[in-house]
Order: sequence, then C-alpha cells, then structure tokens
Amino acid sequence: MKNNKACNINKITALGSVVKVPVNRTRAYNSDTITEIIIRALLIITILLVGYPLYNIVVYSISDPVEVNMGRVIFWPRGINFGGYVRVLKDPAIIRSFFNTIKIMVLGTAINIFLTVPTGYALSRKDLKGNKYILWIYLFTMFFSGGLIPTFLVVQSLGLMDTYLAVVLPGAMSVWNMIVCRTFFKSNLSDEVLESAYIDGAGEIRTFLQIALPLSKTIVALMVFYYSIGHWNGYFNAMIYLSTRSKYPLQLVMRRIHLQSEISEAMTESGDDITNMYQIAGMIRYALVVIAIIFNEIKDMTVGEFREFLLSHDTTGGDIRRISRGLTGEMAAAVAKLMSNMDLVYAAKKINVQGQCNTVIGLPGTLSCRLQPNHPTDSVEGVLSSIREGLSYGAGDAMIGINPVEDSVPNVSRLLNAVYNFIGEWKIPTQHCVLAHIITQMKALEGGARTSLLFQSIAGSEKGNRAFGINVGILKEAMDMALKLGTGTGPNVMYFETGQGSELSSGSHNNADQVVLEARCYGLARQFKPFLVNTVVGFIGPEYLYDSKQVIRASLEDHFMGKLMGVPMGVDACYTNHMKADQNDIENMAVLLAVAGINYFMGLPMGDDIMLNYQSTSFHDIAALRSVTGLRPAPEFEKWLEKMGIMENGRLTKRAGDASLFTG
Amino acid sequence: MFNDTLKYLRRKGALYLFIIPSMVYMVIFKYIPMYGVRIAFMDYLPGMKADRIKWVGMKHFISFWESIYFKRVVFNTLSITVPSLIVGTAIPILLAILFHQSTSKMLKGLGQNLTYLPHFISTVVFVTMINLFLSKEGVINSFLAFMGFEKIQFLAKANLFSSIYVITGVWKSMGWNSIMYYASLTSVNPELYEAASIDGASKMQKIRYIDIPSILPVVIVMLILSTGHLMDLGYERVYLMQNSLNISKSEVISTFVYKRGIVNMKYSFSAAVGLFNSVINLFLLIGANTLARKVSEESLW
Repeated sequence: MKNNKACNINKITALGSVVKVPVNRTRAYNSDTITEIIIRALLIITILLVGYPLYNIVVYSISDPVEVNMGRVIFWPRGINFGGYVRVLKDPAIIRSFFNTIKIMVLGTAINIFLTVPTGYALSRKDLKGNKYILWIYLFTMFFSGGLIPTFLVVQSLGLMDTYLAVVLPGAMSVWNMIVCRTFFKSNLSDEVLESAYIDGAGEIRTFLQIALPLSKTIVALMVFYYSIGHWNGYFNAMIYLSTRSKYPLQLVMRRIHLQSEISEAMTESGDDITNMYQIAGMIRYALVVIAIIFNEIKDMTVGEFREFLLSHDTTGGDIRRISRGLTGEMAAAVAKLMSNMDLVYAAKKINVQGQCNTVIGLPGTLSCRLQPNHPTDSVEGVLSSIREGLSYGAGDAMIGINPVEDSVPNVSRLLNAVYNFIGEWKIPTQHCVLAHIITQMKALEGGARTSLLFQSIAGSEKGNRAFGINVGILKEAMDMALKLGTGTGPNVMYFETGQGSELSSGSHNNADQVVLEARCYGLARQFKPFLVNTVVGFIGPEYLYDSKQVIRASLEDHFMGKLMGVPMGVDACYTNHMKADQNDIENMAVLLAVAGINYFMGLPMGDDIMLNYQSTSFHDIAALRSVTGLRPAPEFEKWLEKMGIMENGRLTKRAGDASLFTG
Repeated sequence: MFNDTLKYLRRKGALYLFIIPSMVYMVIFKYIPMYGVRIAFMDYLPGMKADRIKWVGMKHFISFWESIYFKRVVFNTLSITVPSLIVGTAIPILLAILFHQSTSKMLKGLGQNLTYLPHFISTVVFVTMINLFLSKEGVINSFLAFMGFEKIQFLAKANLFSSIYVITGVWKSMGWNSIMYYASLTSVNPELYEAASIDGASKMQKIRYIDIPSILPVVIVMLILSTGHLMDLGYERVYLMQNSLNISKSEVISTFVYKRGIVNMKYSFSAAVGLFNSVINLFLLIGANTLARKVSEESLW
C-alpha cells in the first residue's frame, strides 16, 4: 500500500488517555536508520564523557606527580609507581580516619535501618488507624524545616557536640527512604500472608520479624546500601559537629589534604613538620586525587626564578594568590629584595586581596580611605568635626579609626560609641574602631561598647609582640570576640598595623633584617583574616629608614609583600619631621602605591595629624589620587556619597568639602 | 466506643510501637528545630536565660533584606538552581530514552553502568576531580592549548562558577536520575510499540508519541518536588568549590547561613535567613503543585 499522507494510529495507553500517532509510512525505514545512528552516537559520546574522567583519575593516581602537574598525563600513565597508595596505607591519620568512617557508617546505618524500616512497615498497614495523618507528620518535614542553625542548637543543647551521635542523629531517617520502604511493603506483602500469621497466633512484632522481614530482604539491603553510601561520602555534619581531629572521618581528612592544603598552615609552626607534611602530601596527592599543586609548582624554584614567575606576563593574580598560602615571610622578603621599584609596583598590581566587613574594600577599580580624625584631647566634638569634613570629601570608606590619647576603657568606649552613633545616624556604610591597645578594646567591647573592628600593632617576632603586650592567643581571642560581639558583620574583623624597623627599635629582631621581619608580620596577620593591614612606613624615623628614597622603597616592598602573603594592604604614606623627607615625597609615594593597586590610604585634615604630630595623606590627596587614577570609593560607600549629594559619577560635586551637610 | 478503641489497641496497638522511635526522632530533630526558628525573632546568644530574651521582631529579616548580601546570595542561588532544574531534568530524560531505544545491548549496558558510577563518588573527591580537570595544567586546558586556544582559568573566573557547577552536577547525577525515567519507560505496555510498528511509526515517532507521554507524570512530580527546593542548594558541594576568587558568584544562601551562623555565631541572623529560605521554598512548592494540578492531572496532593 502506497500512502504518502500521514495516517493516525489511535491507541489507548497504559495511562488511559488516547494517543494519536501520525505516521509517515514510506520514509519510516530511512528515518529509523538515521535515528538509530543518532542514538548510538549520543550513547558513545555519553560513555566517553563519563568514562574518560573516571579512567583519567585512575591513571593519575599511578603516575608520577611531576608528570601530572606538567599536564603531560593525558591518556597513558607516565612514570608508573604505586608510591601514593603505599603512602596512604602507611599514613596513620588516614588509616585512623578510615576506621572512624567505618564506625560512623555502622552506627549510622544501624540507627537508620532501625528507624526507617519499621516505620515504613507500620505505615504500609491499612489496619493502622490514623495512618494517613501520621504519614503527613513525616511528609511535612520534607517541605519545611527549621534549617541548619536551629538543628545545630538542638544538637548542642543535647550535649552531643564532638560525638559520633551528633554526626549520625540529625539525619537518622530519610523520609524519602521511608516512603520507598512503605511502597515496597504495600505492594509485596499480601494481606493473606499477614492474616495467616495472626491465625497462627503471632503478635505484631513476631509477624514483622519472622514473616515480613524475611520476605523483604531486598528492600532492607537496598536501604543499607543507600544509607551507608551516604555515611561514607558525607563530610558536612562531621565538619560542624566534630572538633577533635582524631575523630575525623576519611572525607574530612581528605578535604583537608586536597582542598585546603593544610600544609601551608603547618608552615608557620616548625621546619621539620613542613618537609614531613610536604612529603606526605606530595606522595598521597594523586592516590587520593589531590589538588594541592602549590608546593610542587614552586618548590624547585630559585628566588630569581620565583621573581620571574611573579613578573611573567602569563602569571595572573589568581596564580599568585593560589601559591601565596604556601609562602613564608622569608620567601616573600627574599624575592622583594631582588625586585626594583617598578617590579614591586608591577607584581603588586596583579594581586587583588579584598577585605570584607560591613563593606567590601579592595575591589578592582577602587581606592579607599581610612578617615583618621585624631584629636589632641580626645574631644568627641573635635573628632566628629574631622569626620564630617573627611566624609564630605569622600574619605572614610575603609574605616573611621581614631588614635586615642588616653588608652583607658571609659575613654575608648566613649569615642567608639560616639562614632558608632554618628555612623548610625547618617547610615554610613563603613566600619570604625579606636586604635587603643587590643586588651583595652576587648574590655570596652565586653562592657557593651560598639566597635566593628579590633586593632593591634604587631611585630614579626615573638619578642617584638611581647613588647607590644600581645601574643597569638590574645589575638585569637580578640578575633572570636569581635566576631561574636562586634558590630562588624565580618568575616574580616581585624585591623593590624606594622612598619619596618619596629622590631629593631625594641631590640627584638633576633638579628634578622627589617624586611624579613616585616614580611613575617604579614604571615602572622593572615592567620586572623584581617580586614585591613596597614604599614605605617614613614613613622619609624631615620634610624631605620633614613630618607624619602628609603621610605618610598620600603612602602613598595611592604605593599607587595603583604599582598603576596595574602593580606589586604594599605599604607600610611607619611613622614616625620626628623626624617629627610617632605610633602612632595609622600605624594610621590602615594601616586606609586595608587598605581600599584593599594586598597586604602589614610585621610587626615590637611594631611597633618595634630595628635600624633606627623604628616600623612590628606582628604584632598585622596580625592586627587582618585581623580588622576580614575579609581573610585568602595561601591556601597559611593552610593551613599551619591545619596548625600557629595559625589556624582565618581566625581566630587560642588557640595563636596562642605561639612555643614552633616549639621542639619 | 471507648471499648472499641481498647479492643483495637489490644489487637493492633503493637503496631504503634514501630513508629515510636522514628516519631521521637522527628520531634527532636525536625519539629523542635522548627519551633527553634523563633530565635530568628530574638537577639539570641547561646546559653541565654529565658528572662533575658529580647524579642526584636523582624529586625534580622530587615537587616538581611537591606544588606548587600541579600541580592547577591539569592541571585547566586537561583543562578545555579534554575539551570540545574532545567538541564538536570532534561538530560536524564534524554538519557533514559536513549537507553530504552538503544538496539545495541552492549552500548546500553556499558552506558548505564558507567553513568551510574559518578553518583557514588563522594563530594570531596568529586570537587577535587573538578579542580584537577579544570586547573591550568588540567586535561581541559591541555586540550585547549593543543587546539591552539588560550588556557582558561576556569576556577578563578567567578562568572563561570554557575556553569561549572551545573554541568559537573549533571555529569555526576544524570545516570542515577535517569533510572526513574528508565523504569517508567520499561513499564510501558510493549503492545503499544508493536501496534505503532504495525502502523508503520518511525522510531522518532515512537519516542515522541509513546515514550514522552508515558514518562510525563513522573517528570511532573519530579519537577514539583524540585521547584519546592529551588532555593535549597546544598552547602556540601558549593562550600568545597568556593574560593576567594569566585566567592562573589559562589556565595549561596546555605553557605551564607553556615558561615554567618555557625562560623561567626550570629545565630539569630542566620536563623532568619534560613527561615526566609524555607518559607519561600514552601510557597514555591505550593505554587508549583497548584500549577501542575491546573495544567495536568498530576500533582502531589
């Protein structure tokens, strides 16, 4: 029969609706062949897309890590060795975490099954009165939940923190799996079977254990499979609830090794550990599918090669940020010493380190300013006058920070609250702090004073920090307190100041030079994820930095090293009058740093600090620098400036500089 | 009446014993936390005595709404979940049809077994694999370089984050998710295909007029369920894939809640963000279900 018109087939489908199938009979054979080819082609593509990565991982794990890092292992393994696997089997931490995972799996799955299967069974029974309503109690939790925080608080209040029960109990039953069980029981256990059990005199429990369960081995096995895979693969609960490292399950240990390059944290501790950790990491890397390539990339470099790497056209800021976690202060200082001023500007420009507290500063294309409204008698009205003036010039987006004359809790609290209220009154998107000793600030904070950042001067040696009256423990405590009690939303809530030569001036340099010690400050700082780090480069005096040439050089070194180490840098471009420098020198310095991508400068009324008696950058300087470089304030702050009518399209308006804006 | 109940309980009461353990679990770990979300309306600090509780109304919701993060995290979440919903539903359906229609047993068997595998890879290993393959020296960049293109820093480009997340997610779950569709395809009455063949239907026509209509109910139920979780993006994988360079696009609601709440201990604020999220999800679910009921006969309730 020759029929070129499409004809229809009417057919009742399993779903009960009528399906109309238009058919083109003569071309059916041809198009079927094409369809078949397409189907096979798509299947082959899918198989390759899924199969290749899986295959590749296996090849990686038995190849020489160096070859893998060079990107030379594409299809066949190169430099076959099973060292990675041997190392994994020998590493006590991994073995221990493996057994921890087994414990969690066994405990967790047992609880899962104990809750899921009987519930599914009971709810599958038609003779369970009210089972529809009971079912909804379970179903509702699939659609609405209290969320992470309330669950966390429940676990905490049950006293389960740091136990395996905390890891397995919050997910002790999946409602979805329970429904699957229920459906299975419903369709596989006939009423007759159960009836006959009753007639034989078995109770409900016996019926379940002796009749229902043996008939349902498949579903129980499936549940055991689902749940145990879940426990094997999970890491999040363990991460939240476990704090003792020896209890960590395998996934968490792997996460630390692969994804966090924990080794870099260890670097700050002791030398032997580093090599040890490094070797372990290097070996097990690909056996466990590791990514921490950092050390392999730079471990064989000379300092000169490292400089070439930093300055290479092909090296992006992202590349540098990636390796920065693996750098010690000594390495950063060494390479800085081999670089010219232009090199320091060029390399620093590539690196972008942002700080995020109430606002984000250091975004590309921005230049922020710390408003420094110091007053020789800590007069609140005097301080506020300077703040008003600074804001009217667009200064203050990095923070508003006051160096107090009197380092006492009442005085610091008074200043903090005055500034806090002012910021609140005008809804200024910024952060503030008073630069007293950190203990004073902590006491003020505990006493209810409102601060968004905690400040401290730090040194590059333990002795130097002791001279400042601090240690790592105090800083840690301060950071935790600022996160908990401070008004800063974080995650960066610390503000550190450094400066070449400070260790020498307190005789705590241990014969290291000031550039190295400065870089070590940044190593210390980065542990506490600071919002701002500021090198007060010209404040130290001529014994350490003799003239403007040295100060400018030092500022570029500091800025570069800080960014290289991964802290958000600002510079107090300043001088004191006993140094061979003048106004022009700090202006030169500021231009260089603005070009080098600095996060922020100081902003003082007329560039003259009437409390600390030194010269720094003024509100006008900030405005001029932004104008010549085309940089803008932090975005949230710029919006606020626009709202206030101080700035338009990144340019100051006619109203700028009129502090009476804030008196209305 | 009372005697009837007693009689019933004596005979079948033991059945209730079966659900007691899971009921206790539900109350403690699901319903008490639901009650616990009231901290979203307080200035809560851990260990706070009941008499010191300060109720602050909608303060935390407003401060989230007004913060710069609101738009960012909501947008980031949706920029991942919406494409995931679309691609993550379409690809498994396509795959199920391919398996079902394949005449080559070998390709079908290999394809199914292989595509199921990634489902069992743990999140940690999976993210490590992503990093490895997308790194500068990874396979994909080596390939790009070989073809004469510039290498791309995939993991450093914030704008690529959601694409990477969605595509890798589909890679991992397409096989596993196709099982359900495949199962409903195999349960189609074979007579349908026979009848269609006799009437001369082509393979494409069988797919179009038999396969697709027969999995549509499952698809709709799955879509409703997924819509109810549109704002729910699990933290496990996002958290691991975050780095300081992509954070502007990779911070999603769940990771935001985790960081603010558990890391920074701003419990009330985070609980408010979480509650906001749950409520939106609930509305989405109800909305999707109503819509599904209107346009088709399938719905959850």
